[in-house]
Amino acid sequence: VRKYGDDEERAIRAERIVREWTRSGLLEQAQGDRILPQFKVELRRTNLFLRLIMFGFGLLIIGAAVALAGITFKIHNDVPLAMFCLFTGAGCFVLTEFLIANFRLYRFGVEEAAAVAGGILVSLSAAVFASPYHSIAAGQMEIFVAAVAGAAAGFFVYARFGYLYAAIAAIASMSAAPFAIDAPPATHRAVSAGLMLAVFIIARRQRRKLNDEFPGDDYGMIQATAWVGVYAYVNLQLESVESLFRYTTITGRFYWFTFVVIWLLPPIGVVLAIRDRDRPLLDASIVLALVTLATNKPYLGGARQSWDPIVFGVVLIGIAVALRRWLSTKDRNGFTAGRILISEKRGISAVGTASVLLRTVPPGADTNSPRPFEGEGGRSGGAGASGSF
Amino acid sequence: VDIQHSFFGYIAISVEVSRAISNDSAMLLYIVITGSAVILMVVVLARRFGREE
Repeated sequence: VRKYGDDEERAIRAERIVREWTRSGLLEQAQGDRILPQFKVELRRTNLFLRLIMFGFGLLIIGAAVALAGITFKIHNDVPLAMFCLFTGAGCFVLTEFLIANFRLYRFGVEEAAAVAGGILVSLSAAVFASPYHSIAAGQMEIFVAAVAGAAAGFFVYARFGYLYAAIAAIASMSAAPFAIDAPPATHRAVSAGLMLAVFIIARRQRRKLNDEFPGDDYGMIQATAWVGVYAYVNLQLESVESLFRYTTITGRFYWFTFVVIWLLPPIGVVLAIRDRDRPLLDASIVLALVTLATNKPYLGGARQSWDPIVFGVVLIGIAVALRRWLSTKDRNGFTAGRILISEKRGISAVGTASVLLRTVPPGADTNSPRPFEGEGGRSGGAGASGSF
Repeated sequence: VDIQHSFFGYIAISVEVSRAISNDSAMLLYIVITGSAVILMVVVLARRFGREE
């Protein structure tokens, strides 16, 4: 049972949309002011910055308090530690309920921190419980149990409090569980991708039933995340884009099967998204198409060249220009290249800012110079004229 | 902006304090007490000076 009423959730979303439309000039200020009072809810909210501060501090305080209690009561052995984590996790969930019930907090950060800490502690407890019993493979049982328990806790947090990121974390945790089982890498990836596909199908069904109406919007995001997840487990060359992904040596028929699949998934996603007017899935599929193009060369064993990104960029610019012209020639069932909402502009600038996080070392660039600079003498101010070069 | 300043100030002071405190329990206690104080302060400031979105 959800903690917040469906009417409250819908009112909050409607209020957000009215504000966005007013900011974007789709509604007059006076119209917005007239509509907004209808969506007033008795819940306490805050802005994103304060929410993040509250969340960070909440997690820090809960973590410190739990560690302090653990040190004070000298809890060391497996079973007492597992029980301790279980009880403190349950306590965190009770605290979340208390904060919401008494202070009517909604996405305020503190209550979210308590719920997330509860989920982490419960999955930690399950892992510690499992640690003495290595029935699948030594050292991996607790990871498997922690991943499954983490997924269950995440789904619980989403079902009860509606935190979308908890559902996404649950999906990620669930799909990571097969990697803790002793099996060939191809099996790990196939099972994980299969789990993601199952989530995609379930979320898609719900999303199509409800469209963008709450909780259809949540299902839309879960569906897009699961689609990205399917792709991430199938694309064996993602480590060539970013070293975050573990390198695995998979060859043979499975390798070429995945090559075909990574070319099929993005267009299928785009077609489904356009048919259903599903923006999250469309965005995700476009990103996946770009990743497919970027990983195509390493898939085929081709050597990376320094001009590859230039060619890639020019091709993308060409596609963008052609697409804009095509959309602007006549009515395309309501699809337009024009920017309608201000939030889209913010999204683009956020992506631009985030792009600096990508490490781009040009291929062939030798970062380990064999002979670093060494001074060969010379007086200060003498421009090195007295040095022996 | 005031809240941002106080938040960054708290981090700077805490880094110095963490260098001075060598006892784990004392450090954890410091985090619990001062972290709670920061949250309370943020709530009070937000309620006093905040405006509805």
